[in-house]
Amino acid sequence: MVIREEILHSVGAITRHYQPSEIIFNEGDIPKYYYQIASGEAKLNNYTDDGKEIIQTLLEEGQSIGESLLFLDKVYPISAVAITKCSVLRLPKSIFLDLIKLYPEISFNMNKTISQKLYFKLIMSQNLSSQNPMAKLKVLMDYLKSFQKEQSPYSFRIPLTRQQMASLTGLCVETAIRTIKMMERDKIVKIIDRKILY
Amino acid sequence: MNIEPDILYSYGGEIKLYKQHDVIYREGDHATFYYQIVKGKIKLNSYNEEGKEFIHNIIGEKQSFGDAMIFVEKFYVMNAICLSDTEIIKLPKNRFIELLKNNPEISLEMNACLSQRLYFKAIMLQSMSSQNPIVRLEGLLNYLKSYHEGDCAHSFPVELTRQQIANLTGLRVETVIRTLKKMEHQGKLKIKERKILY
Repeated sequence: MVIREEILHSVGAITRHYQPSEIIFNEGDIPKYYYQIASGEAKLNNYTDDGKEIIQTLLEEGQSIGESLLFLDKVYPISAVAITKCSVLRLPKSIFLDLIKLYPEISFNMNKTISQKLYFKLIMSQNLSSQNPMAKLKVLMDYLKSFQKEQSPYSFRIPLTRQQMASLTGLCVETAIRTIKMMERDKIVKIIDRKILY
Repeated sequence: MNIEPDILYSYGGEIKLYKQHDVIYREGDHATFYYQIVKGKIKLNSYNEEGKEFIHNIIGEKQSFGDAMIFVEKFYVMNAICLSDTEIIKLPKNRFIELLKNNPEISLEMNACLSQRLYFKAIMLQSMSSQNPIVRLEGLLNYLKSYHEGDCAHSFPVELTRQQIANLTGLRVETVIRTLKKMEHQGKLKIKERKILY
């Protein structure tokens, strides 16, 4: 959790509820609030010129949404969309900026949070140079698995749909499906009831 | 990030001299220091499966590098290698964290600095999915420029060769050369003795 919920409540954060695929903020909006997910999952996305969805980040309970924009004088370069039903704590930007001055440990956590997101981007940008869909999917799977204690083969169930994996790596969903089958044949993954074990 | 050298020294920061081609850290190493350049230049690079080099960035005086990894319990994903004889202030990770905790204003500055990097990295990743080579090149150039202080037009000299730019954007080198000329015509950049000023 980036900021303890009691602290957020005590300075006037309100809880907002979103339905699946409801928009939390839009690309091009001016950042006015700090958002933190109390329950549910959300994604940051945008679309290519030809309408393909690019998922930039997947977010879950306890994570903040688009917080880095509160430190910059820019509009959101991405939209935030609920994946499941979501409860989100919302705090006006000015109060958030006072809060991190008041609590240095929140500023420290913020450095951690932003660094983690930066790390993910660094990993994913290795994919830019690769034309090989298997290499791209493997980079994503290695990243996701790196947070698990258990590292033996096939011990980790990929918590994403094939569509989400495609949108995170810039592949077409058909290519992702075909490539995952190839990875099964090459014994890189196991597939049980459509679930991918890596 | 640029922290007053005196503050770094007071927390145990030490100057270290590196020769050209010296490796400061390697991909796969643990982050154990904060690094800030006093004099000289370094590159952050990695190699793909075929052994082709990718330069992700070139960092110069008064700039830090690898600092996001201090906050993330992960290994470096790139190598840091000196391009010239280089003077660097090294501060052990735990002392750096102490410094941030005792100097909340530096921690806040770090929030803004990491946010900016994340922003431009996201924009860069997004622009790489475009079919338009100008969009791709602008994405890369804005990202590289964001590491440098001051943002007056045409002031930032791009240290990458055309081939390196091609590798980073997934374009062919001929396309890079043609597109850079087009951008020069549009007044988006200047080219002086083959050097790109953005």
